[in-house]
Amino acid sequence: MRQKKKNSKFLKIITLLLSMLAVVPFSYAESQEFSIGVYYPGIGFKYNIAPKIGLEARVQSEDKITVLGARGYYYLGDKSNVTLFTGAGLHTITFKGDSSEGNGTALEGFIGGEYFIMDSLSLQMDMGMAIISLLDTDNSITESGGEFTYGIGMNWYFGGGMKK
Amino acid sequence: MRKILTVLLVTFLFASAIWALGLTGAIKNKVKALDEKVSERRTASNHAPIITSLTAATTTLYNSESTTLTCAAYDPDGDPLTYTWSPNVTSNGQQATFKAWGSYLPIVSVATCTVTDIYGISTNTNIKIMQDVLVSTVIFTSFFCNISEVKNITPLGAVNPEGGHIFPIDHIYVYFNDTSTAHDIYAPAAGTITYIQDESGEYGVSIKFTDSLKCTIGHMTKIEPGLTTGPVNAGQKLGANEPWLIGNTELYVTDYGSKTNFITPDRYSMNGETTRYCRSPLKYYNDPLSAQLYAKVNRVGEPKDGRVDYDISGKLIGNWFIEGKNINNSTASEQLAFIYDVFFSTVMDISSGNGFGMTGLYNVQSGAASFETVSQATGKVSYKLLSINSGDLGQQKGLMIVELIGENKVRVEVFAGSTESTADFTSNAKIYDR
Repeated sequence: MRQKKKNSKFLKIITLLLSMLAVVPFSYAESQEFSIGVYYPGIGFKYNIAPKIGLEARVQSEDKITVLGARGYYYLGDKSNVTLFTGAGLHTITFKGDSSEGNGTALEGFIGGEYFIMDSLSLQMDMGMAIISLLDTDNSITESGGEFTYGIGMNWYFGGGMKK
Repeated sequence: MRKILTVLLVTFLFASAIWALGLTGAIKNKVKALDEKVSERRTASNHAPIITSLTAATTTLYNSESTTLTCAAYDPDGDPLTYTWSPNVTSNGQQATFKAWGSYLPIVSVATCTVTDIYGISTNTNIKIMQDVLVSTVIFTSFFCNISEVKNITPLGAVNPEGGHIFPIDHIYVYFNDTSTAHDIYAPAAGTITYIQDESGEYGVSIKFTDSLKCTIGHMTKIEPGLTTGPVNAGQKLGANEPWLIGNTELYVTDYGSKTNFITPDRYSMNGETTRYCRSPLKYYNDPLSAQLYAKVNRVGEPKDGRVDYDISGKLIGNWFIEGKNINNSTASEQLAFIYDVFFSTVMDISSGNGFGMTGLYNVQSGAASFETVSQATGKVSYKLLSINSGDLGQQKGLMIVELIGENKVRVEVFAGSTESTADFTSNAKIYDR
């Protein structure tokens, strides 16, 4: 019962966040700084607040694991259709395993690149390391440590493409 | 640009081979590790449920009766419990219904309740439910031969060690006055002929009256022409006995509602079923037929029906097998019986196979300890083996010493030809149980 309440609250937060982010494209579409991305396994909304800095809200879900967080991008430079970046992210986690159930956080650092197929569409790949901390709330048992990750996805830029 | 792309792709492919895909992939690895920790913790600290009782409203059922089973249990950790039952009951959580299926013979069924906590740790317990059968109420309306032709009836409990019958026999014998003429054999009641045995001119007919009551008539030398398996009427002619070929005819009644006193009834399964569920055929007659038949019984003393089951736990009296044997895997030489005579109900008999080089039925000396009084406390007891043959009646043919060494275990030794009154056990002693 307690977990149901927790999930319900969490879903409300996600819905609110997504609703807020959903209106952003229309507001910033003309600015060409806003993009929406589809990643495995989730979606992200990115806004470049400066020529070399972007902020992204991400929601990911897989196998009773839900991750909600933000990523910061620092663009290292670009050549032709490729833009390299590095960055860091902080995420909150809720999960339910075979025996465990609870929440946690993930702090990640990554490096990757975007390859623009079109002015408004890019393929994104990145890899990095995540420091993950989980807590089984019923038994107060924790599990922490680093994990190497890689990600793939696609970005769609509103307003004709990212400013370079 | 191409170089950058190539490096990215190669690095990416390399990474994908060993790294987790997406942050959720990495988290999955951690969740799995946490699952293991939680399981270990639960295994280490969790306690199995405890079943305090498994009871039945009644543990003996007849026909298709039902009983309610109730399992009481608790979990030391306070975890919620689930109750699962063996397939032979209809489950309803802590309670279940066991329904007898109307077995034709008494059987013991076992119902099992398993109580499991939320971590999958379980405990189970059993309860035995007896599906019993009542003695049949069928009445035989016809004797299986003409009573006027009958000389006498040997009741249950005869023995014939030389013929391999060490234990009291589970059927009656009928002898005829006139041994030079054939005597017709009839069905004692309406039923169904289930089997006609033909062993080189010796016939037997089995008739089922109900699912739990049947009879077999044996020692017939003629079978009625056209007789076949199927319905048969009371008094219907089945065949005949010709005394000059077989000197008597015999009748077994197997009533699965019958209760015999064998210490371990299962030792009389299969081939022993006619003994285990044996009942005197004369009990199925009403007067005046009943009185006429009992008047023919060749036995001094009670019960006139005779008996096959003399066993009393902890006492010498009754049937014994060489240790570990049963009716199906023992030979006559591995059987021994301490019983009362079929013709004189107060005369003690020892029926012995060839286990000690002496096969036969023997009386014992006057004043010998009664079989039903000999227990472990008695210690060693000596019995003179006295001939029952008319030529040397009462002559000592050997000596048997016995000692109960367990509730139902006895040490026995026979000294063939001995005329002594007692002896000590030697390495030739044998152990019997039952």
